[in-house]
Amino acid sequence: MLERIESYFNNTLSNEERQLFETQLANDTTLANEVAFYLNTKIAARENAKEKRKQEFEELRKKLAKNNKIRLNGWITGIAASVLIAFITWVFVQKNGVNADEIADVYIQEHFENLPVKMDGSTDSLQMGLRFFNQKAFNNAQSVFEEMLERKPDSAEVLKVSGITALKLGDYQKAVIRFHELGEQENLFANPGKFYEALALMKIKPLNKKAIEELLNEVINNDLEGKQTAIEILKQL
Amino acid sequence: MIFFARGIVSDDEILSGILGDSVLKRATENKLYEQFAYLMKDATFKHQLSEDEAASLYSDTILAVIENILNKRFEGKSSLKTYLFQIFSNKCVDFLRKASTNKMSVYKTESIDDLLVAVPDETKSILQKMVSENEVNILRTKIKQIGEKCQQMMMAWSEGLADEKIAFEMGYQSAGVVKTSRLRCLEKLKALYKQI
Repeated sequence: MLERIESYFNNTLSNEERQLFETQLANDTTLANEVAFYLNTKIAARENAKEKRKQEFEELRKKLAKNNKIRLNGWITGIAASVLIAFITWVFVQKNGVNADEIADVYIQEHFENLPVKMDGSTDSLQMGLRFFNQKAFNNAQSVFEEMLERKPDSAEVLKVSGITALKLGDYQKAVIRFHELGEQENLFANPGKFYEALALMKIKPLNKKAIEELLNEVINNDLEGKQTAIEILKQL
Repeated sequence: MIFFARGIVSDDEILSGILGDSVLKRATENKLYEQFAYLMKDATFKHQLSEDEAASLYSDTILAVIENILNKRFEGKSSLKTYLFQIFSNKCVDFLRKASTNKMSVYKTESIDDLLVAVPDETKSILQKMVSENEVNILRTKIKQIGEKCQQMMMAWSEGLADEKIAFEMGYQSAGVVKTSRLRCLEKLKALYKQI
């Protein structure tokens, strides 16, 4: 029944089917209840999505306040030092608009919020590190992963999560190293190493545009993991 | 003002970014938030709001502007700055009015009009009566209990994202798989909801 309701709201029913649906809706309590559930659910999900986005904006506000950007955004900064700083910034920035750093931030925020943990309460080191990560205890997580890498330096999974943790800690150079090692590995079913390495490079100033472009093109040309996003990012670089 | 060009994004860039693909969309939304964030500070002086109140109203404003851009309600007759400022001012005034008359409502049900665009008036009035703030609140809690993947999918669906895009975003094989999975999530939610 939900499928039929969805088809009605998506406007994919034929005229006869629509009319039948509308007549039935006025007389059939079961259908009416189902429709009520469908509509209330869609609104509830949208409210949850908005709530989540508001929380993300709140984090952004804190970050802005920390960087003192809000004060800079008005007309009050007319002094020579600000002009000089703005000029230097302008010289280094190739184009206006949303920049690489911001695109990387969004990707990191959206994709590396939580890492999947086995729910069986297993106590192996990787799971322990992942649990630290999900509790946002990134330093603890990184210690666990580094210990594991000392024992087995070529572990693809640990290289990946250690690189992601380094991104979270703002240690972008380390993230680049980890992802580079991962990207070099062959015979993996899916290897996001090159794409993640480009992502980490996008956070390092001054921007090494050439290296990022090379990596992203490699991801695209070899059909590696992250291909679609790589195409999007290249358009913005 | 050319020296400040790095931080400023033009209206056209914001509009195309918000209507663009997901990663760019989020980054542009953040940029929009950042670009006019000084309005929050202004509101604390002008309307005597606390920082948190101004921030909450400002976030609501940004969300409203994004929604209006997506629904093509923003027609570009004024600049985005003027448009956003107007919505923000109205929200501040509404907030103060509600606070002063002690009618502050914590929750405001989302208008269902967007969901009923293609529905004839007679049926629309039936459907409008079906939406209940109480039920929505219960469902909001229940949605949080149906697993991360289902939650994510339902949020994307509620925002009007096409199944093809959801498939790409969430790594599903096709739009068809997304549809089947979503219906399964809805059934799961219904079972939870019926337990009440």
